[in-house]
Amino acid sequence: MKRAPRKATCLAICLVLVTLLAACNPAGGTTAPPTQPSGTGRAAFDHLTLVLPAPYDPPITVKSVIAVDATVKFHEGETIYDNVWTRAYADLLGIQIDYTWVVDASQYEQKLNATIMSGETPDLFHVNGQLLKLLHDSDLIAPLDSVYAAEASEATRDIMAQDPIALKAASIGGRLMGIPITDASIASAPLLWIRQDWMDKMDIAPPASMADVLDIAERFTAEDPNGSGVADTIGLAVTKDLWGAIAGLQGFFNGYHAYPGIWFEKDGQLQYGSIQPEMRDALLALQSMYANGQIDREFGVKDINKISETIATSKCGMEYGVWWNPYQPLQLSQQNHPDAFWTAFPLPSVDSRPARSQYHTAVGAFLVASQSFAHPEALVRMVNFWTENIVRSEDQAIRDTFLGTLDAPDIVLYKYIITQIWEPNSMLRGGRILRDALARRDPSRLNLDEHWRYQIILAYFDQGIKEAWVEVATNGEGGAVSILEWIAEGNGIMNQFYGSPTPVMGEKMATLRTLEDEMVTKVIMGDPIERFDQFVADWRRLGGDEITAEVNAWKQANP
Amino acid sequence: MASKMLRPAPLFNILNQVLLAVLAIVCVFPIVHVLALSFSTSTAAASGRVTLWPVEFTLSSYRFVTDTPAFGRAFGISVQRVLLGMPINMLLTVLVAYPLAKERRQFRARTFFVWFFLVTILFSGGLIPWYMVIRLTGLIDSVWALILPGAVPIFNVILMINFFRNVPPALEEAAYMDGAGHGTLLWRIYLPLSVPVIATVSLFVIVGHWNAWFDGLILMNNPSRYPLQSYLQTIIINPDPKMLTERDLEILKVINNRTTRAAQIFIAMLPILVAYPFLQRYFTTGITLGSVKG
Repeated sequence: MKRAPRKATCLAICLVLVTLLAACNPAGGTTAPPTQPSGTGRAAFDHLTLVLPAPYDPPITVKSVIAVDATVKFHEGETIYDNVWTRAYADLLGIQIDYTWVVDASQYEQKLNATIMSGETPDLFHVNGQLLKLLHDSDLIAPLDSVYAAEASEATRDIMAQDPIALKAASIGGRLMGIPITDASIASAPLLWIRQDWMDKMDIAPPASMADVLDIAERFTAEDPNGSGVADTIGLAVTKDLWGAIAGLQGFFNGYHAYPGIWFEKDGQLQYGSIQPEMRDALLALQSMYANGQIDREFGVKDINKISETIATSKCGMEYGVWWNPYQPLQLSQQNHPDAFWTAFPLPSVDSRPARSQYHTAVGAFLVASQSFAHPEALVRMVNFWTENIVRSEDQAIRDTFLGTLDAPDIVLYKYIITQIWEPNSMLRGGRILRDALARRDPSRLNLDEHWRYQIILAYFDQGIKEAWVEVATNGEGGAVSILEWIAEGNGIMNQFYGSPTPVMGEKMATLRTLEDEMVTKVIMGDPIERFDQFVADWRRLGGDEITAEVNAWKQANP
Repeated sequence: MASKMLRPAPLFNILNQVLLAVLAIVCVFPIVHVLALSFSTSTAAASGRVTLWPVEFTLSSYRFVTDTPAFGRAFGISVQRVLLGMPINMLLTVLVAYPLAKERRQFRARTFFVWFFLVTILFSGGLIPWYMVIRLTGLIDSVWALILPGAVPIFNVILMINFFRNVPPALEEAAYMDGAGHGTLLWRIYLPLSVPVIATVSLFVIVGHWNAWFDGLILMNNPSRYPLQSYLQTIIINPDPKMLTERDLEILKVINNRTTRAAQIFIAMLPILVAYPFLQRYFTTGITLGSVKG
């Protein structure tokens, strides 16, 4: 009787000891990265033609932090601490990158805040506009004007110049506080996506006006376009988030010349789009669509997952979304229904004035250097390395080494670094060259990326590979990218406020956005339109007027 | 007459059972749904055809999970966390609860210490001080950062104190007579009598350690040291649709891959599902917050 419990106790203690020992072993307990970048030396990169500055001698160590999401994969034996990029930085630039921590992208901001607040600001890191302002005001980051002027390479300057507001957005009080992370701003402009195969089957002409859009929504709802025999389709996909890149409503409102959520110039002043009278008609139209079952009765709880499901099961044939929607989620409908094909259309307008797609600057993040870091120019050198050698490279060996190879498509090497700066013009320029080559059936002038797309598009037309529709709908003749080019030629309207949040904006904008989203959702679901007028009054009273004044003061200071 | 009055009203009985049955279904439904998803093909899941039974039965999700080293590693860390955290938590809980369960005449500073511990329930330092304390004590990035900061769960201490108070004083006096000290008293008299509360508190601790995810995300400097739930959190988050760009396409694909997520969620649920029934029977006697027990 006495023995048994004792045995159990012994066992328990042994178990604890074993786990204790396991917890104490160096791999589990130390803060140092498991493997230091060993590097095979400069020789490993000798076969590549690279433009390089003289490396730091002796090498410097840079403390940084990085966000990686769950999709980031590594080659066997490599880690975020030891990969081609850390080796290249160390061997070619003399910069030892030491990531103090690595965190999932969703927790980056929170973890960065905790780190900075505890007095441990990294040397070089990546921040959003709000934090840029905060760090500038607390004197924690160094101005970069002089190092940028002295060190920025030709390619870096060219890329920064392609987006006229990039460097402005990174400047506070006339001083450059960070290197903006650029990309194509026009990519956020909404387009109208419609199931082409349904339009053909039902003999519907391309929509030329909002009346046509409403008509298509009605017919897609009533006439059983998916042939299921039951009324299970809706006319227009809308998510609960209202303004997303997928199944958002910006494009619909733009058709009524309303520009929700952005600041644009009107009567010489910057005005907030969501409180303008043009919102009214668009809201009323959506309200009647909802009442007639053309918008999902339950759209208020449908997130992107649910909308993807609706699209995958061919229960919806129209949505407003950005140019890359075919890659995800529209291709899901083709997976289930081989003939599905979505076509992008420029936004139809309610009247004779053409609709203008609203978009916003792609510059949302900046690379900054800590005030106490002795080598802020290292940041510019890392950026130069990327812009000069890699992002515009036509050299297959360089692309394979630093971006990733086609035989391991899920290992995306550039995800290992913080200087992911993209060329703002490359999408439109590449699209133009590609369409030109397709028209002439002559791929000789295409770069690697374009050539790859060229072959996919030809596979659709020549071999009937239906999965290739995605590339046809985006980069093909008349595809989404060609529409973006048209929008970029003065048929769009960009958010005119691109500074870091102003004081009252930082404090109240989130509440006002919630108020706005609630109003839009409620009105669509049948609340009287007077709710919109009420919202406008509330918005102005609860801080909106102050924010408008601040935004215009910012405009004065940053013409 | 009296017996008639004691018999429960049938209407109440029926309502009670219906209500409980509905509650049970509400609780079980999501688990069954996740299980069904994990055995279905991803196309079936993406088109919303799976509810309670697998559609196009496949084991590919589980094959994917066993081929994902990150999952196994995170699972191991969680197991390690529970195996280390549970004994430490229990030991400290018992050692704190024992003196605080004494009468004031036996332990003068009792009230002070009770308040000392209670304050930590009522007031928290906030995220940044918490992080700073852990960083400055050098725990960041080690499994101890997940265990030591929460090593004395006050709520559990209170449960234990209340249970200890119900141990008849006569036993204590008798033990003293026989020459027992506090150590013997605690290990030989109190603990053997407190199996229900120990089982209950152990269960709380196990579930707490197993389910914790936030501290892992903040305190580990490298995703390869994430415990299981922190790892799951990173694959289950939904990105803000307003901020999506074409660079996030990979993330969108992961989100649409619901079957593998379901498999991982289900495997993560298993240990608790298995442990629960064995410890649950102590619940009714284990939790007594100040009430008199029969």
